[in-house]
Amino acid sequence: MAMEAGSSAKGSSIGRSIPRRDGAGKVSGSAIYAANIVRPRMLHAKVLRSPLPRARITAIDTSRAAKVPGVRAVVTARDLQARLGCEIIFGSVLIDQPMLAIDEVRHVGEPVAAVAAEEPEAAEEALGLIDVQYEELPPVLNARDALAPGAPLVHQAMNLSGQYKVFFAFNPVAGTNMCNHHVITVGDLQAGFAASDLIVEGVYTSPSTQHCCMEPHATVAEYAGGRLTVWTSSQAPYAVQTRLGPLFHLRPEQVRVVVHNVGGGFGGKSNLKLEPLASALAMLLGRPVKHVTTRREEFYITSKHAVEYRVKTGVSKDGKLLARRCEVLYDTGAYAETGPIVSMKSGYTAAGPYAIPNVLIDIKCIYTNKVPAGSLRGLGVPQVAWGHESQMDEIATCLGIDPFDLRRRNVYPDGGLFVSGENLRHFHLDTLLDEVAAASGWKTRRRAAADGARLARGFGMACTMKNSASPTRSQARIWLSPEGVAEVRSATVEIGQGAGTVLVQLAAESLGMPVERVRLALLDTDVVPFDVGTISDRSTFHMGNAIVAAAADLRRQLLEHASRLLEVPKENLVLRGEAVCVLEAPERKVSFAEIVSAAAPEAGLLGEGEFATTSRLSSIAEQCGEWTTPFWDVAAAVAEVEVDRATGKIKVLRYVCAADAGRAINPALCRQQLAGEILMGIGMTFHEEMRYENGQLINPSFVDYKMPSLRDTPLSVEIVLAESGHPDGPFGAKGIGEVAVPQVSPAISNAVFDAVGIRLTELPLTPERVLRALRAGAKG
Amino acid sequence: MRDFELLYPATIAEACQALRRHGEGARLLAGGTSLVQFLKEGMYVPEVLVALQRIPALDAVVAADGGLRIGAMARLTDLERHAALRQAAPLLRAALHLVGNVRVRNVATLGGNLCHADPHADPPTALVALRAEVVLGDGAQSRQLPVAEFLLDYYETALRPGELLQGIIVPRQERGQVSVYRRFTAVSEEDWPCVTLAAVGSVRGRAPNLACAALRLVVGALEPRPRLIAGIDELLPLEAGDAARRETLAETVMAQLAPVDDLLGSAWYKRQIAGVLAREALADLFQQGAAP
Repeated sequence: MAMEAGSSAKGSSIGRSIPRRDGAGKVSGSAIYAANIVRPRMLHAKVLRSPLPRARITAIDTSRAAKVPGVRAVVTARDLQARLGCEIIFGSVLIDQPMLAIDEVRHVGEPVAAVAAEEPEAAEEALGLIDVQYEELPPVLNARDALAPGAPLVHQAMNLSGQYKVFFAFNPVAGTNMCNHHVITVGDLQAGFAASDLIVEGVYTSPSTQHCCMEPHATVAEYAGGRLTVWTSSQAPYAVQTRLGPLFHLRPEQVRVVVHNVGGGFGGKSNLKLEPLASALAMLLGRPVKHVTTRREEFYITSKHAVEYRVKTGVSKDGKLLARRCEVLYDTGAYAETGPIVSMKSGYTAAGPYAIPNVLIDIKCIYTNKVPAGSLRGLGVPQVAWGHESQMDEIATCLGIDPFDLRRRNVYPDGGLFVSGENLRHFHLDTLLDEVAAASGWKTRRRAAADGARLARGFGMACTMKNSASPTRSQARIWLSPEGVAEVRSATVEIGQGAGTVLVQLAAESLGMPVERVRLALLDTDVVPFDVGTISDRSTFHMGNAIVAAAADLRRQLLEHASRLLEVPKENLVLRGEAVCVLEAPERKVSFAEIVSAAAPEAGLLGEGEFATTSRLSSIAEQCGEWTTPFWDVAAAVAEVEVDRATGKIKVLRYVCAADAGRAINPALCRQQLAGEILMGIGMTFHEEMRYENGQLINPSFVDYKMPSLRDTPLSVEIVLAESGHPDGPFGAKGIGEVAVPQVSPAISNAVFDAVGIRLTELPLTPERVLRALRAGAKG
Repeated sequence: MRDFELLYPATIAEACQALRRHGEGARLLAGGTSLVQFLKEGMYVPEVLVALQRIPALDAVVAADGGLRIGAMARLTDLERHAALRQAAPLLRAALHLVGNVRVRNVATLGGNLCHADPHADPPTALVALRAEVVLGDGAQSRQLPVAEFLLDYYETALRPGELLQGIIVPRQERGQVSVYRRFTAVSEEDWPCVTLAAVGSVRGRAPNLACAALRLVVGALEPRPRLIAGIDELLPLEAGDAARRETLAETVMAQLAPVDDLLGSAWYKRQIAGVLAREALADLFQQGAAP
């Protein structure tokens, strides 16, 4: 299935590792971010955050804070409600999150009051002078406790007016802390277990982690002439526009969103964050307001779901999975954020990429009094894959079957019938397993004799599936200037992934132009058309298709105009080298610049395109056989580790990942993405955990919360970039921004088991956990 | 971070005068790598920072009685590369090399590192093992203290109001002396150490009949100040082949420590690691002793 990267036609822009468009600006420091925006008369906002996980606010005295020189306003939820006369509760799925706490705080770090001042220092000083009286309430601090009968309710009443309700079959349960509960069943679970020769059960937990974007959240809001303009660090400018407007009774066109560079998103900037409060302050005060968070505050804004994944599997002695029951608890924190989507979309893959005739998946997304959890690279799949891929290894051990053979025997074939009732379309995980086994030398692997007494080596494997967002829509325009330069107008955000570069390559290829003659327009919703967001691996696929469509529209116009100018039927014309030529007499031609000058002098030509997907997750509920995703993210990986029996420390010696890019538009960027994903997976595996004690986050800084450093990377990372050519992707391409994260933890943990015989079920795999398991194993 | 006044005194006397004048509101600024973190976190809110960068020769390294005198403002990178220091105190050099990363070491100073008095810092553990002393001055008079007595508690030293650290006197490691510095990080490689250990000793005899005749072991990062392990002399001379006694040594180390549970590991785990480092250090000392 692999297609050679260099097989494209000579001069093609596809399959070429051209330099990143955003590179020079970033390394030279000239790139603009939201925090760089300065507006005349701009004020600076800071927020006072709750020190308690759950409490009633009995009084707020802002009088002393208001007297600090330079302070222009100190506001509470009550002030916003009274003076703005608008809704101050927002959300992306459930409308449940206030801009400032109303009467009750629900997590440590929740905004309670805001200050706007001439200088950030004055705002900071004023925060210390706000006097808040709290009456402490018993908090709910984990998902299991939150389900217990009589547990306090994080939200007394859930507001169900969220716009996604129709699309995602999500189901909040009134009178409980569950903001989504869903059960998927296939076949007859009891019969499946009854027919099984072996039943294996386990619970696998993953903690909450942080996105740790290099750029913290930042927003500048300005309200003038009946329009709200927001410069913000967002992955989804149109989501900001469509969700911000209604809060302030503004129509979408009254909200303008501008996004320059974004220093990392990973899902943490895909919904409203600072925008509502900054906008409210700007409207209230009639002056532009800037709000930039500190690194510490970043830890209180959004996070990854802590997950408890309970799985029971029945299997025949020849290694066929016959039944699997999964219960997945997602701790979504105090506000739903995208939790209902995360739980639904990863939950329905919780049984893993395996054809199992009898399945039950019980998905519960649960409110607790912790930092809200939303989308984070992999959207819940890393947490469920941690469980199902660890257990695959346990089953293989119990049955004495090679873990590769067990996976190969059960993995969905292309076209296999998925739990959603759909036949998996263009699904080549079986081939990727073969490729990763070949590349890693799995079949001939030998545990190199390390230091026999102290060091031990082992190999582990994992493979996973993840969907992409749907139904969604992307629109694009390409403007061909009178000079014949093409400008791509797209709302896809450059968040460091290289999307801008890839979209330029797709436009250039579609128009037969060199990439040097294609530029990207600034992302301003007044200029670029709609896109749902730079999320869910969808930019190359969805926006890529929209750009290809816009280019086709432009090509059609060029051919029509050229036909008139050359007096040749357009069927006899062809685009070549920034010109339209006569097919049989290529020397007879008219350049793009000449066509534009003749057809639309000074104005240029505008091509428009759109791509929308209709596949929808709600089909799971009905099991009606519709597609749930336009394409599948699939990858398989092998890890080789060395475990130090004296300290419990794990070193990853080698990591091999085979991922399907469909078609690598820019192979270097694909490899960078995958390497970045693996490193993020290394962080989730070994280092990262938001640690809570009594509802207090105890490590909200990079001193105490550790991400992997370069010295923590595997000694060798090898990437097999498969190119299966997706029939619906632009030039066969699909997204690969999240595909390689979910295998990392289980592949490494399985390798640890291979090395020293201990099975770890809690992430992260700290040396202490390893040492304790080794000691426990030695005793047992 | 709150506004503060930044002073650049030209002499030690001027610096001490500024400290006396501003009292609690003043803080010394050396390399700033730790101080700036504390300022940003609001843990220190000084009115005045007294910067020592412009005081001449405060970063000099000169020969002193039986060793070297290192100026408080000497940068860690410069010390790492200092030929005389490398020869005189290889243990210190090994510890300096592990501090933070190269960008930190290019700015951080040895005096700043000591005065910050963070128990996780690498140099203090090594300096205690080496019996180093600090020279403290108030502009008029100076006094000398062992590093072990200079460090009092978390972020607390024996500096008196109006006094500053001028230099560190590091005794020359004797001919035939062997030493080792070990650091273990539990979470990320780029992290505060979970446990540090410095050992200085002497090894007699020829392989395989080696014996450790003298040994000074210091464990850092576990308690408010580096812990000098007591009772080792009773185990000496310790023969390389005496596995039981080597284990007794590791247990002696583990038994004397009073670690606490924190983000870097539980007390139990830290004690295990200290035992591992002690065993490794002893093996390393024997290996050095066996080398021709």
